[in-house]
Amino acid sequence: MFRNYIKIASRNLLKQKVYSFINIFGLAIAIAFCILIFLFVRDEVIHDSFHQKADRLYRVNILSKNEDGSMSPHAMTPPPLGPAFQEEFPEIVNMARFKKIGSVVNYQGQPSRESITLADPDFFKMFSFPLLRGDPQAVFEDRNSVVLREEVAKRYFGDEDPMGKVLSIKLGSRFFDFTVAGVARDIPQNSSITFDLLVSFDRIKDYTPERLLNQWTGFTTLTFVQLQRGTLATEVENKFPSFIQKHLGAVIKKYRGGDLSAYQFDLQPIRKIYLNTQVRSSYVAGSNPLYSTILAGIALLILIIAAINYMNLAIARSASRLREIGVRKVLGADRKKLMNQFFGESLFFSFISLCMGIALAELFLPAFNNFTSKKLAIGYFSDWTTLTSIVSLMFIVGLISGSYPALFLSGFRPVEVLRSHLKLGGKSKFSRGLVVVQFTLSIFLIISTLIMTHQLHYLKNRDLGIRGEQVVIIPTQGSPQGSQLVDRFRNELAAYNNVISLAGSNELLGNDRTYAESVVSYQEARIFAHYFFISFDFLKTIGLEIVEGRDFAREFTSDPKESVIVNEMLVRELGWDLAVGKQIKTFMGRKEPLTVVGVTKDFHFESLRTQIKPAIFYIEPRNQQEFIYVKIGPDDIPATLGLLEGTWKKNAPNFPFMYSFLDEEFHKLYRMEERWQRIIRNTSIFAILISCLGLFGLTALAIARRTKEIGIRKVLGASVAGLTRMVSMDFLKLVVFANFIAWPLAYYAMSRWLRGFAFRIDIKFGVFLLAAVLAAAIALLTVGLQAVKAAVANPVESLRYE
Amino acid sequence: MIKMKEITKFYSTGFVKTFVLRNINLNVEEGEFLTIMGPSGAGKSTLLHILGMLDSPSSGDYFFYDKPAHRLSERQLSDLHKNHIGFVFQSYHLIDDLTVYENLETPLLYKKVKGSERKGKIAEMLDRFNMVAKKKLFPNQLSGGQQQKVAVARAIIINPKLILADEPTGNLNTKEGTEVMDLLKELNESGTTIIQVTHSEKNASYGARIINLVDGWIVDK
Ligand SMILES: Nc1ncnc2c1ncn2[C@@H]1O[C@H](COP(=O)(O)OP(=O)(O)O)[C@@H](O)[C@H]1O
Ligand SMILES: [Mg+2]
Repeated sequence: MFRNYIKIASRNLLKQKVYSFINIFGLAIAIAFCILIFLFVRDEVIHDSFHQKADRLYRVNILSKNEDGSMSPHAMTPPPLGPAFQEEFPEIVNMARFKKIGSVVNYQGQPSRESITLADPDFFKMFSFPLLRGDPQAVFEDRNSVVLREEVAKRYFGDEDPMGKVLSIKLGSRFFDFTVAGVARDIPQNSSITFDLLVSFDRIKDYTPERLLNQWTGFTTLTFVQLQRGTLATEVENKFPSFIQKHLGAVIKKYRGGDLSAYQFDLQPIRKIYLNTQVRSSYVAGSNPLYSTILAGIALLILIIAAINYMNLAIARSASRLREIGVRKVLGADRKKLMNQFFGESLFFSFISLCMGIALAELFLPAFNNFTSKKLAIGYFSDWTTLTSIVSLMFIVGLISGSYPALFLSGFRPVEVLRSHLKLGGKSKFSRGLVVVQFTLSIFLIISTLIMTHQLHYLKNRDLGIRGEQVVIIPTQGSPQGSQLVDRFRNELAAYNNVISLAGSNELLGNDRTYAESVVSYQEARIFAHYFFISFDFLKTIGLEIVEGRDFAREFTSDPKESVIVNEMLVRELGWDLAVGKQIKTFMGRKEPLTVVGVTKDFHFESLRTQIKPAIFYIEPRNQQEFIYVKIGPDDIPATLGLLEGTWKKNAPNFPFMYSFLDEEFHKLYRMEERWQRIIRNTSIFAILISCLGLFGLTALAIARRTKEIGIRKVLGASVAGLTRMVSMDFLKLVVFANFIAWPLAYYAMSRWLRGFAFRIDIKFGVFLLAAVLAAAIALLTVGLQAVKAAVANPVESLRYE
Repeated sequence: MIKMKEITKFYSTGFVKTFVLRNINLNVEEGEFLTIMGPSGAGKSTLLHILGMLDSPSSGDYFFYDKPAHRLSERQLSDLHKNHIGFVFQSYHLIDDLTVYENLETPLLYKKVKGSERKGKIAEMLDRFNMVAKKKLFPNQLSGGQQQKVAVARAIIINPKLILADEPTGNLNTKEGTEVMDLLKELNESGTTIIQVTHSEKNASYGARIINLVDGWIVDK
C-alpha cells in the first residue's frame, strides 16, 4: 500500500513540476530559516553550560534598595567579600574574584592595547577552561605569572614556545614584567566569561591602595563561588543576613540609616547570567532574551507563510484529487487510510524540503555566522537536540500542511465527489483567507523595513550641532605623557596646513555611557548638567557654534579658573534671558562661583534616543586630557593620519596609536538598530518571495481551471486586456484587502519602536502607500504574466483540450 | 440478497424538497441480472448509489444480506466495498496517476491480498481482457473502451458478489459496448449478481428483469 502512495506522490511531484517546486522550495527556504534561528536561539539558551561544574557555580550579586523600596541587582561586589565568604561559609569550596582592566602590553618594544583579566587562583579549578600548557593548580603560585589565551599567545609568539617568555604589562601607571606560565585553549563561543591575558588577582595591589582594597563600600569586582556538591544555593543565602550585619553593618548605619534590608546578596547560577538583562556588568557578555523571542517569532511567521503555500496548493489541486478520493472510497478505503495517505504524502514532501532546507542552511551558515558574530554549526550527531528538533520540525510542517486534504477532503462522501463537479481550487474562502494572511504579514514587514530605514537615515544625517566629519579622535590611554600630549601635538603640528585645529577633552563625544553629571545651582534653582573638561580651541575643533558671548581664550587668564560656557538647554532650564555674566555654582570641580562667558548652540553628545541635556564646559585645569581631537583638512587624509601617528610615536612610544573619526563614533551608536533593520529587511524579502511563490501557483491553477471559460469568453469577443484584468483582479483584491489589515498593525508596532527615540521621524502616510504599491506591483507581476499568457492563447486549443 | 422497503430520497434546496426517489420497494435475488431504465434525471444513478451504499436514503429501510445498511459503521461499509461490491461508472473513474497495472492492484491492496497472489490475479485479469501489453500505460493513454475494460476488470478483480454498473457503455462505440456487455453477461452466468443502468434496449436485453424509473417512481410497462 505504502508503495502505491509513494508512487502517486512522486508522480504528482514530477508531473506538476511548478507546484512541486513551489511547495518544496518555499518550504525548504522556511526550514533553512528555522534551522538557522534554532541554532541561534539554542546557542543563546545553553550559554555557559559547558563548564563541568556549571550546576554548582554561582555569581554573587548585590541587591540594593532604591528610594521607592524596590531592589536593584548589581553584579559588582566589594573586593573583601570573596575571601570573607570563603572563610565563613564552609559550603563554598572555591572562590574567584574577577576583574578586567584596559591596559598596554609591551613585547620587544612593540606596545599593544590589551584587556587584562585579574582572577583568584581558584579560577581554573572552578571553570572548565582547559590549559594547553601549564598546570591549572599552580599557574598563579608565582604572582609574576600570566596565562595567555591560545590565540593571543600565537599573536605574540607565533610558532615559538610561549612558556617562560616575558611580557611587560602596565598596571596603574607602571610596567611590570610577567612570565608566561600557561596557555589556555580558546574560549568556547558560548561563554559569558572571556579573557585574553590572565594574571593573579593579587596584582590589584600594584595599582590600588591597600585602604581601598579592604573597603566594603566600593563595588568593583565580580565574585564567583563554587558550592559543595549537593548544597542548595538557598542554604547559603539563608546565612547572608547575619553576614551582612557583621560586615556591612557599619556602612549601612552610615549611609543607609541602619536599614539592614538596604542590601541583600543573591547567588545567581552561572547558566542564568547570559540572558538576564537586569544584572549587567561590562565584564561579562550578555544578551537580551527578547532577541531570541523576536527571531523565533519571525522564523515561525516564515514557516507559517510557507505552510500556507502548501495548504493552498493542496486545496487548489484537491479538485483533481477529489476524484481519486472518491474512487478509493468506492474501492473500500476508509477515512483513516485516506488520512494516512495524505499525511504520508505531505510528510514525503516535507522530507524532501527538509533535505533541501538543510542544504540551504549549510550554504547560508557562514553568512549567518558573520551576521550574528557567532560560530554556529549544525551538530547532526554531536548533540541530540538539534537532530530531534529538525526531525520534529519536519513532522510539524508535514502534519500542518497536510491537514487540509487529510482532515477535510477525506471526509467527502464518494457520491458527492464522483458526480457533482465540486470546485474548491482558488475560489475557496479558506484559501483566499490564507493568501490574505500571507500578504498581511509581508506588507507589515515591508512597512516596518521602510520606516526603520527612514529612521536610521534620519539618525545618521540629523544635524548634531557639531561638525564631526574629519575630526580625528586619539585616546591618550592614561599614558603618563597624556597631560602634555595636547600641547606637544599642538606645537609640533602647528606648521601643517592639513591640521586645521587641535584640542583636548576628558570626554568621548558620541557615546551613551554616562557622562559626568553634576548639580548646578543658580540662586535658588538647582538642575542637573553634564560637564565637559576641555582645552582651548575645543569648541572650534568640533565646530560647535557660540550663540552668545565668547569661546574660552588664552588672553583671558582667568578663564581656566573662573569661567564656564553653557549650552542653550541649560539657559532655558534656568530661565535666563541673558546668560553672559551670570554666576553659578557647581559641586564637581570647583566650589567657588563660576561666571558664564558664553553660550553654545544645543548639540547632541549622546545618541538621538535621548533628549539634549544641559551641558557645562570648563577648562581642564591640569590639562589632563583623555582624548585629543584634531580637525584635519579634506585633502590626502591618509597622509595626515600618518603625520598624526608619527607625532604619537615620538611622544608616547610605549602606547599603541589608535584613532577614530567623530562622525563614526556617532554612527556606531546605532549598530543595534542597523542590525535589526537588516534582519527585518531580509525577512520581508523572504516573506514576499515565499508569498509570491504561492500566489504564482494559485494563479496557475486558477487559470488551468478556467481555461475553458477563458476560451469561450474569447470566442464571444472578450479582449485580451479584459481577460487579463478578470483573472488578475481576483487576486489583486486580496492584496488590497491585506493592506487594510497590515496598515494599523504596522502603524502600532512602528510607533512603539519609534518611541524609543527622543528624535524621530513622523510616520508618513506615503510609506503605507508605497508598501501597498510595492506589494501590489509584485503580486501583479506574479499573476499578470500568467494571466496575459492565458488570455492571448488560441481559444480553439483550450476548448479542444477540455 | 437485497431488500428495499419504501425508500425515498429528497434534496432540500432552499425551502423546497425535491424528491428524487419515491416509495421504492425492490427485492433482488442472488444471481440476478437486473436492468434499471428510465429517462435522464429519473433517479437511476441515485438508486444505484443507494444500492451500493455510497449514498444513504432519506427514509425507508434497506437490508443487504439481511443486515440493515443504515446501521453499518464506516468500517463495515468499507469492508463491504472492498470485499463484496464492484462498481463500474459511465466515466470510468480510474486513478489518473496510476498505471493500468497499479489501478488493478489498488483494490487488492485495500483487501490486503498477499504479493504473489496479487500478481497472479492481476496477470489473470490482464490476460482475460487482452491488456497485457498496456499494463504500464496510464489511463489517459488509453481509448474510452480500453479504460472501461480496465474499470470492469478493477471491479471484478476482488470477486464481488454484486456488480453495480452505471451506464457502462455510455461513452463507448458499439463494438466496445458489446465487448463490455458480453463480459457482464459472462460474469452473471458464473454467479455474480449484476445491476445495471442503461438507456439502450439492446443492453437491457442482456438482463432477465427490467424496472422502469420515471420521476422517482417505479412504473410498470
Ligand atoms: N446533490 C444534489 N442536490 C440536488 N439535486 C440533486 C443532487 N444530486 C442529484 N440531484 C437531482 O436528482 C435527480 C436525479 O439524478 P440522477 O439520479 O443522477 O438521475 P439519472 O441518473 O436517472 O439521470 C436529478 O434531477 C438531479 O438534478
Ligand atoms: Mg445517471
